[in-house]
Amino acid sequence: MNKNSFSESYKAAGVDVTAGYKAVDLMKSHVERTITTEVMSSIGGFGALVMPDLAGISHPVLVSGTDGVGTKLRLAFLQDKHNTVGIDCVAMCVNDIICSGARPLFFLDYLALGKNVPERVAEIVSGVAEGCVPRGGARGGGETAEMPGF
Amino acid sequence: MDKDTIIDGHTIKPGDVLIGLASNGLHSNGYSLVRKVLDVENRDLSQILPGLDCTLGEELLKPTRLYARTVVEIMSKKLFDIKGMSHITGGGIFENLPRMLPDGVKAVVDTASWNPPAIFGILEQEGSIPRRDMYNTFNMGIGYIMAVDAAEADKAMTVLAELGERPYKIGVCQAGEKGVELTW
Repeated sequence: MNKNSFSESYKAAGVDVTAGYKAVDLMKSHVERTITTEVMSSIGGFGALVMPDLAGISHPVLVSGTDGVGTKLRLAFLQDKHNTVGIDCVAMCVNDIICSGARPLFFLDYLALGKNVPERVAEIVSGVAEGCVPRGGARGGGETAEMPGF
Repeated sequence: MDKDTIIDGHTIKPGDVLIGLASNGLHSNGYSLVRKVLDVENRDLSQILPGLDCTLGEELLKPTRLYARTVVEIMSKKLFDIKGMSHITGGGIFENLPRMLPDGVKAVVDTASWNPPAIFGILEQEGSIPRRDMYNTFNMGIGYIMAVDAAEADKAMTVLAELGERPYKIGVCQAGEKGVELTW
């Protein structure tokens, strides 16, 4: 991660890139818990690289899904407790794809924030990791967007 | 996964048994109704309501259960044959159970075959929500449903319990227009 990257102008407009880097640092240990032998990339790359173990699979099929936590998020806001909604998000996606008989391979998260509070972002991602660890696949990557005033 | 092992419910036939796996509460669906009925913005979330084993706030943030470990274990070790699976997500049993059914098969579910967690009763009462709406919005205590051949049902129940699930035989498949019929 480039520690020299900063922009006071962008920060004044509500986007603090250094907070973004801090969030990535704080989430590292959580993400590492989920990494499987199939994951090739680590934090910081542009894409998530995964080399699936296809041994014994003659006609490989990839099953993908996307979901969110809906307005349950409001309950997390009200109680300032952010380490469970990530589990919800993983579960909602994983429970869908396993209906076809697929096994979870990797998970990508996307966080849209009004203000980036690194500790809170790490808390959210710790939930994502928690959801991934019991057979939810690897947390292959993600995106954290700070979107002030939106 | 392998194309040859895709489960899409096409082998489901009348007589097959539906096994429901317990949820641990609301999971992540129906929260706009929950927030409205319980007025969560103005409510003391630290109270413990009758029937709940934790505060209301904790109950409403209980993380959604994952069924992946169970399903992957069954499939990879071929513990029993699953004909169809349904994640009871938004829209409840009404919307999600038919998603695994082939044409010409309906699911008949006996709601008396399991006890929904207390939070559902609290919502039903406080919001005077019609029972039909409850089952069309919330999972009502069943987070995931599997269809199995009747001859496999007992084995499936044993295996699922051994894997740490709380399984219930909640209904059967019958000939009819694709859909769900609930009996009370």
